[in-house]
Amino acid sequence: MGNTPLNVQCVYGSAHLHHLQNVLIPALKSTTTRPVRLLTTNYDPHSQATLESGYVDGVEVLDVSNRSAKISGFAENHNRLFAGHPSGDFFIIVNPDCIPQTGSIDALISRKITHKSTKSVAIVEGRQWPFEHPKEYDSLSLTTPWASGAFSLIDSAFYKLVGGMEEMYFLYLEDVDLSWQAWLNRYSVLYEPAASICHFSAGPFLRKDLVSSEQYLSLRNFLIISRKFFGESGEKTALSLLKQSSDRDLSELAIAEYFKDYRERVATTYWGKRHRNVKILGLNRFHEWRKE
Amino acid sequence: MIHVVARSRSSADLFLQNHLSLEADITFELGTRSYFELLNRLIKETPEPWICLVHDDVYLGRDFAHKLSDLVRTLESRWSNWGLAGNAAVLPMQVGYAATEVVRYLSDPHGGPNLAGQILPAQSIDGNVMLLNLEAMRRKLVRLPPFEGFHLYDIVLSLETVKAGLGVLACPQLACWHGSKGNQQDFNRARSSHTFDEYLLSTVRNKIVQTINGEHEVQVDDAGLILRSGIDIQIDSLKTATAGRERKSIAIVTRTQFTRPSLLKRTLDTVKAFVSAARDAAHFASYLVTDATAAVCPDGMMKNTTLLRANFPHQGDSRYQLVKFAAESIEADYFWFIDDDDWLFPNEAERLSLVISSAPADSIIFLGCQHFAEQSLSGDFEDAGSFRSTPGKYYPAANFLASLSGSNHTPFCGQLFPRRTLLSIPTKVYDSVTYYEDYMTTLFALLSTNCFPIAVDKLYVGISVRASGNTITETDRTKWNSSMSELVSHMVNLPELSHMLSLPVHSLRSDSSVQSLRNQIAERDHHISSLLNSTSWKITRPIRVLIELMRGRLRLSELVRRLRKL
Repeated sequence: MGNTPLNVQCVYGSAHLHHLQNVLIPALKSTTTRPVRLLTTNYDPHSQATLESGYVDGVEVLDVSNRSAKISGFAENHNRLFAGHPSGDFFIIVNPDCIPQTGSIDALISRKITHKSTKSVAIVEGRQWPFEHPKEYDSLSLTTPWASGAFSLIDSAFYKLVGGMEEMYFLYLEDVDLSWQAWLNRYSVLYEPAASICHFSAGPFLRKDLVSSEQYLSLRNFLIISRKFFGESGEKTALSLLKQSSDRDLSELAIAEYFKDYRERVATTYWGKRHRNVKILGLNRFHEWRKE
Repeated sequence: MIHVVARSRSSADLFLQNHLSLEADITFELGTRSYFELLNRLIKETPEPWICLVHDDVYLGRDFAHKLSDLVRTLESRWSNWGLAGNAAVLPMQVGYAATEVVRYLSDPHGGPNLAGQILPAQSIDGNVMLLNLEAMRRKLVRLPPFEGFHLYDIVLSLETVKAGLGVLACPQLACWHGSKGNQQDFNRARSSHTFDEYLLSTVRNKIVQTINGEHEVQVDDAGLILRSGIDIQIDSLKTATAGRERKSIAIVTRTQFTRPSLLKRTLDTVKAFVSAARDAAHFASYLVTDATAAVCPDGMMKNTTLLRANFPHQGDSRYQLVKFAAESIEADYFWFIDDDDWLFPNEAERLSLVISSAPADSIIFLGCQHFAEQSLSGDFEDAGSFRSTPGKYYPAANFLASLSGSNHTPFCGQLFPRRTLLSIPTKVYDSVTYYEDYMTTLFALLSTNCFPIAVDKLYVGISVRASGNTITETDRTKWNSSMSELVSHMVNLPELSHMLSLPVHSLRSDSSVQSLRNQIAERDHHISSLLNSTSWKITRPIRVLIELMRGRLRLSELVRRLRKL
């Protein structure tokens, strides 16, 4: 097992190329004692900026060509990388703007393997630094309602079982969706504080003069996830929350697009299924704040 | 080459009368019904490579034609991608001691100039005096939409220039008196036009566009346009203005004794992330400087970093000596000193790269940085991966002038110093100051007569604050006090520095005085609140209501409404 390459999946854009080459890939070797196979793909099929496959800084890089007709979403790309490359018992996903810290992947693996629970572990999430997500996790069991897709270990059998990540979102909230599917399929989701990763993405960098895709898609996707897991009543609550949001114009536009293009496509598989970790406590809030 | 847009023959005559020295250079544009149409015609049909287009209510200096020719020569040689220039502009960065985004190289009924001497990149300019690079505009097919009237043409022309890939600049050579009759109401009326918003939606991807007259929020009523393409006026105005300029170099210097390798690795990893994100406008390179003799660099840490070892004759605290050593040893235009436990945020690296590329020589560039209180989850303070970091005090880039108040308001890592400034600090200063080396350098730079401050108020650096290992938290202040003594002694005995230290203290409100005022207000509020809650105040309330009724300050219907609510 020690010599089987561990698949680490990363979806990138042309702006991430230098970071991948100069920072992320060189850092990967120190994250685990296992051999690493970094599976990458550019989400823009028309971009000329792609990584070269080969052995770089002790890592086997395998860049997979994106044959989509247009820019493909986070879930679609990860599902494609997963489907095309057998991954062993688990695999890692990492965002292209991250710097994984020394021993961080081994910390995720160790938690996955040694965790004592009646439930199988579907996802182990690493800790983001310096802006750690302030969401709750149980300090004894390390369970958490949802795991961020920025840096996580995912159980391969579970991923196959649920058919990978939901592609409808395009970007944002597919990680919450995947976590909720884990809880509703009797798996657990863990948070591993010892697995640290630099991820410079948070509120301080949002520009007030631009609408970020995160702001807009998070609103639209909030309606999708609310309907998918909480049915008609979830959708109603979500609509009410969007209408009370600070950016009313953006909310109204998100609502319009949701009704026009998405609502009828939302699956009803999880309607009526409940778990205490599958919860909505506010607009795009799926957790209690950590008490520390 | 000077085209005057005159409202009538008589205003043209008056203009000529006031500018007899420029008579040979003046052409009048009479009967104009649309500034947009006029601009399109001038771009298309005027044979000259460039023209200066002015309002008929400006007064140009006697040597304006001479300044204009000089300016064009300067632009051609130093801002070769220029397309448009004006004398008042909103910039994509903050400049000068006031750290303003609006620069005025003119005088008008609203005020006088607020800066001098520098050509700077602009998001948009005011139209009172505009220098148009017609040749470049024709080459890049600049064309304005067919709008009517005499408003907003300057913003639209600026945006079209940037959209076409040409630079927009603010230039002091275009200074004038502008007898402007325009006001904020006229501007507000013009910008409320639905057509203007439609134009912006098809041109920029910003939802807020800064103008000289304030921010304009673009109204979006189509979901498909929210995440639209188009220029990002903040970044693209910098890119176009700086295209073709000489590439400046920046040394990111980390001074280290290799005592905390894990933290140092974290620092260097983030420096590499920054360098990767900075793109090509400027050249960033990472350097480690040390005088540690037996230092061992951990495996892989040095990739893409240059190590420079100093060999100082005397042992002791070498932190300031290493600054001098770096400035003397590294050929770079700018120096950015990062402590070996700090980290860089790469998110706005490209913006900084472009700002540096556009910065005048000897600019000192201030950046936003923030304290982070760090705790080790494992208890191992040498293991950077175990740190949980809580954001603390943010140091705004524009607050640098407060450092003249007697205490330091800008961390060392929040400043980029020109090499020339570092090299001009006397050796005796480097030899005697240790702990306040950052403050000493900041003061020396700010008080240099050729200092030009630029502020980029984005978060660039995280500053690690831990329970131990930071000199800032040392309880024995002997070294701090001793260093302050050296600093003060040098500062007040360097005659080559400016007299900025004598700025009135009341114009530099320090945090402590603001806090003191807040405390006073809170005290008064508490006093008022205790009065309102007192029994005597409540008992006497009916009497006060009765008096208010008698004096007509309260209507009976209002009283009934209040009683019903109880």
